[in-house]
Amino acid sequence: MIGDWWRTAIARIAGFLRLGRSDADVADEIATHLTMHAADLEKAGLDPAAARRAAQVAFGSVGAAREAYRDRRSLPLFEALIQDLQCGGRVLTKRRSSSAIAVLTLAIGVAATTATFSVVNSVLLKPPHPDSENIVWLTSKPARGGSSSVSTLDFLDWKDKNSAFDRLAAWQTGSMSLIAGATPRELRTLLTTSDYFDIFHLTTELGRGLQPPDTEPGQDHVVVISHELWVSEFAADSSVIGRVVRLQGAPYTVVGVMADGADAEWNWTEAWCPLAFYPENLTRAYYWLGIYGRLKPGIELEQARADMARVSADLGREYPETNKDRGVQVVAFHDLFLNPRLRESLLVLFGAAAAVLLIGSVNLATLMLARSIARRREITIRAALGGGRARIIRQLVAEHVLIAGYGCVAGLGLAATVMAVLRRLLPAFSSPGSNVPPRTVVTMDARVLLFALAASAASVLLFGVAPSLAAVRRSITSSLSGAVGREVPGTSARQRFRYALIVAEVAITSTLLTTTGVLIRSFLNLQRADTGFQSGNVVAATLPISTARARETPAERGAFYREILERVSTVPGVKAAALTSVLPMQGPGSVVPFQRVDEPLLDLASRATCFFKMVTPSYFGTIGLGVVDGRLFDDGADAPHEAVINASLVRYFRGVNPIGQHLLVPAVVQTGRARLGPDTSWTVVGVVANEQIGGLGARLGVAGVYVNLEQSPTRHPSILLRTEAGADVQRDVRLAVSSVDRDQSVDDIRTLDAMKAGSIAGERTRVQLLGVFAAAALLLSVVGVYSVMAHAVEQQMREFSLRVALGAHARVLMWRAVARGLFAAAAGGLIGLAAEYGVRRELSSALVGVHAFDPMTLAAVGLVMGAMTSVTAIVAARRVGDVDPVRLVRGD
Amino acid sequence: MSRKDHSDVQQGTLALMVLTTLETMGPQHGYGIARRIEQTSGHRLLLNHGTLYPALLKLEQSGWITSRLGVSDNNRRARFYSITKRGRAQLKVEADNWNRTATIVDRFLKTSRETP
Repeated sequence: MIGDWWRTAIARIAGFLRLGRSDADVADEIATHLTMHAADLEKAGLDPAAARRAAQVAFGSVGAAREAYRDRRSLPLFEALIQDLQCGGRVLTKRRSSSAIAVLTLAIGVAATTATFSVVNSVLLKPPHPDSENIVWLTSKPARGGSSSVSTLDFLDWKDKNSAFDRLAAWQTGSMSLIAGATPRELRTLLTTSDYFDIFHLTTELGRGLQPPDTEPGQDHVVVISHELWVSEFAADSSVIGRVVRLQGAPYTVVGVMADGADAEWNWTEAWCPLAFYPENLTRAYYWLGIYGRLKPGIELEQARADMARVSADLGREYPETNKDRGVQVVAFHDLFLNPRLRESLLVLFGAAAAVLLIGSVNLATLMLARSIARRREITIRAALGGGRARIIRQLVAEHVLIAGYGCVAGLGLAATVMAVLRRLLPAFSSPGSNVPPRTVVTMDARVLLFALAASAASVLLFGVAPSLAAVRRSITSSLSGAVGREVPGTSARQRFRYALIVAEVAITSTLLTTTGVLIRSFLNLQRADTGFQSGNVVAATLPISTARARETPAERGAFYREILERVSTVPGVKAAALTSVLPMQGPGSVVPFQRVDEPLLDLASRATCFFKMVTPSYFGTIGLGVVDGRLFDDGADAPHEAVINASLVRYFRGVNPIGQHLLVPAVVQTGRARLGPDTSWTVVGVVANEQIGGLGARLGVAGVYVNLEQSPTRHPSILLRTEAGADVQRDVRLAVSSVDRDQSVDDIRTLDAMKAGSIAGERTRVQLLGVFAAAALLLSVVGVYSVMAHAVEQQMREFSLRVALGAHARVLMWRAVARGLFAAAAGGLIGLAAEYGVRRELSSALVGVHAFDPMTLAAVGLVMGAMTSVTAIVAARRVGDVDPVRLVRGD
Repeated sequence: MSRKDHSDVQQGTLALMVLTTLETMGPQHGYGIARRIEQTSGHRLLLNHGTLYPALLKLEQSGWITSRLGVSDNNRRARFYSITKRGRAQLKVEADNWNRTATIVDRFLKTSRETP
């Protein structure tokens, strides 16, 4: 009956846990039984001794009864397993030092791989949002290629005409200045239509989110603030709902506080405002919106793409001047974050960590192999005494299981430390253009733990159990006859296996060292990459808008900037000062369509684009951007509309000298008004060298136009100062600025050199980490090569002694042993070379100015590995030189 | 029958004997049960008293008997076993099975003998 089976099972588990009767109780019961039986027999007439004997005979074997009882009481299989583990544990404690080394070696490998994997998991594998598969990013695809933001009317039409999305939201990032307390503060703001909250399931912890009525023109002065902002600016006061704050000088009502960490995984917004479309925003040719959409249930990405192709084709027919051949690009949300640079960095690091684990595992193999061989005599005896082959193997495996267990636990502990360090370094990867939000949470979740377990288990299984079993297999079945444990060890197969370990370790280490070396050289090249300007001794800062300034006319603003520049230029230590709409290496700022005046007028959609920077004429001198031809534009708001182009834009003039030519550029109007102004004609008066607008190493050839800041005054200029070497001008500059306007703050002061370094922080971190892994690998290799050689030599001591007794020279034997080791190392080096050759193509995309198969690096690595293996081999083999034939005779 | 089958049959019969003994005699200690079985089955079934104890454990694990410490007639501390309600039910089922099997086999043998 099932009920009985259950009862039995529970009873046996209880017995396994030693609940209920103990062995002593049963022994008592049996003893009582015998006594009672003996008493009865005595009554029947036997004498006490005979009665006792008869009772015992009638009972049968007490031992057998007790054993049968014990077996039935509990779960024999588990009992046996526990016994095996205990036995394994005793072996580990007996050989404490080599066990510790084994555990440590495994732990290092597990820690390296687990830590790296957890980063890979958090950044690459985990989707940034639980609903990621259904969220997509839409961009407009102009006829000539690339992708651009989306125009208002296009967005509204997409919303109307599509059948693939149940939500489409438009957004714009910006920065608005907030006056809530004493000092103004620039906020990372996101203007969105109300669907955005729905798409990402964003919830508020106070108040409400943005709703459709908020996006009506005139009703849009509401704001939802982030949790962090609420805590830092409003002291987590729950009466903040309904409070009126000033954003960009205008009153906004706070209607909600976002839950903590709402979009931390991909954005880190501080304030959400409604995106209302005013009449002047309803244009089709100004591309300024980002679009997220949510697929309808059951709709796949491909279907959505087809649907949007249909919609854009319709629009192309209806509005040919702007939308002819303009398509739609639909990208899965998750793919947005697979920045190729970051991904390849992480994969390289993971590969390096795996290499460390492999080398550690190989060392583990050597260690466990040596131990198993040392126990051969014991095992043979046990087998001969009937130990049971399965049992012996199980105990050997138990030993390895314990090492795997300890190694895994130690490795996880070590990994947690490594991860704390990595977490500190991860922001380096979130430099501009890297798409890693600064708050990516790197944790050890279930997947990571599973990975650690799998890594330990695989490592121990492949490199511990398999070789050990192979080594003792013969011992288990061989007979005791002859010299137990004195068989001539070192069959050629075993020797080959040992040297194969050396080959493997050297191969892995050299590949890792070469890759690291090449990446280091690449990084050094990157640091020296040409940016077009001179960054030494240049300080940059931003001038966030204050309340008073927000409502100025352009003319007033221009005068204000002029005054600031004048005051700042007088600060001792400042050699030159300039204002610019966008700092170098911080992106293009504005991207505008342009064309030559003397060519047929094209609609904005068909024109080529370039970047558009508004600068004071002193900009070029301050950052050392050389003038190639012509002159710079004049100062002053009343000067004619003159512009300077960069060298890349010259190509556009197809051989004609650009100086004196005219360019047509729509006036760039401020954020909030979604329209470019009317075409303005700018006269080209000069050509300057190309300036780097991306990070170091980015393409240095983006075409661009510079115009006078006063004629196109941007609201958020940045200031650049060239100073005397070593001069600290911060305080004086702040004083100078506040002497013009007491409320004007100077934010985010840093040097151009620091910005350069920041743009390659990711590469620097990668190289640093690789260096650590390479060093670890090298260290482990040294240990590994030494152990293998030392062990091989020890195994052959008898043979060497014999040879010396027969007349060989000990020194010669020693050098022969060293040579064997070096030969193995050389083979490993060649394999490493081949491996490096194999990965050169994947690697070359990450390299700047150096080839993946760089001869100099290869030579250096060869030298290092050669020296390392030589020294190690000599030290390991030196015992051979002292071989003493007398020991052989003595029978050791 | 193989040796294993034989011992299985022995196990089964032993269990039946123990249950019957406890049912008719009430609570008994291990030796008492052994003595009773020996008396009734004529020293043929219980070859070793020792085999009784694993059998008692099995019966207890299945919930058919229960045990507690008590004092024997000689003022000795001993463990007394008694049958449970489930045990009684199981005993009836087993006994019915036996009788049915015995009747069928008996009838079969009788008819086989009758047919020439």
